[in-house]
Amino acid sequence: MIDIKQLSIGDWVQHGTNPCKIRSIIRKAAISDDEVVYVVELADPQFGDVFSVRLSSLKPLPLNADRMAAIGFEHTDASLANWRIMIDDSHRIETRGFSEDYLTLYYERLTDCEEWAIVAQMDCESVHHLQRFVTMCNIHKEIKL
Amino acid sequence: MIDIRELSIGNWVGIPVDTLDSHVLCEDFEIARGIVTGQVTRLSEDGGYVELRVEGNRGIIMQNSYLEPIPITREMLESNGFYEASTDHWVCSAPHAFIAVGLKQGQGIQCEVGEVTLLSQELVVHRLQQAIRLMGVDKEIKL
Repeated sequence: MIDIKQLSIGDWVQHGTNPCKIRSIIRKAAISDDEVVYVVELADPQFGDVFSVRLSSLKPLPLNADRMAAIGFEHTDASLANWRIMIDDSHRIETRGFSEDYLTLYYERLTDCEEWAIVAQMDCESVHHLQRFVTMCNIHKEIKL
Repeated sequence: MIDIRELSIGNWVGIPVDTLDSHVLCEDFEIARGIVTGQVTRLSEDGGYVELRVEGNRGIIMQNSYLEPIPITREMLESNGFYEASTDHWVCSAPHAFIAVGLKQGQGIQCEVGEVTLLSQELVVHRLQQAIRLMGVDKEIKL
């Protein structure tokens, strides 16, 4: 199950087998002191539907090579293990050792000595984690699949 | 103005309630979490609006453009378990993590877990919360 605190509007999640985009997050009702039902409204890009589901029915959308490419990453070697996206001339995000279910993101900045320095890094397991990291790096880029 | 796509449940945002000498006065609201007097209960991309529930079941729908980020202050850091390690440099130890906030210009939020670091230059409360969560640290900022 996804942690509601990690989700934002526009994030991609998995409903059944389909990738869906979150249109809204609703706190529906408190069942008890410990349990609150969160409802999210999803848009299915494949069929153009909008529908509401409980948060508990959603899973994180895993990263894979196709989704990395859709986001705008370009692979830097033939094995598809390493990916890079240029933000501008002096900022980029890189991954190293990509596998189908896990990667480490490196946000790098060009220094005065013209060397790339890591300013932030994070372990990432899903598309919505990647979106959070991109936003935290002040990169105004919305992931589109 | 704040980008609605940066926000999650439990984040704190400011909503303008008045102006004083051309300054906008904001009231702080938490997004749908726990029992508080004021909550933002719904975030929607559809037209970029938020639904604000002030008391009981009374709801107000307002445009996203009314939301403002809440600046990080010394008082806020102190009340959330941070201490001033050196001038304008505040730190907090959370389980398996180290969180540092530099209040001087050009500094920012630094969240470290092991060898992993996350930085944010914007000294606003919801960015601090997002950095803490992204690093998998269980710590909720309260105002």
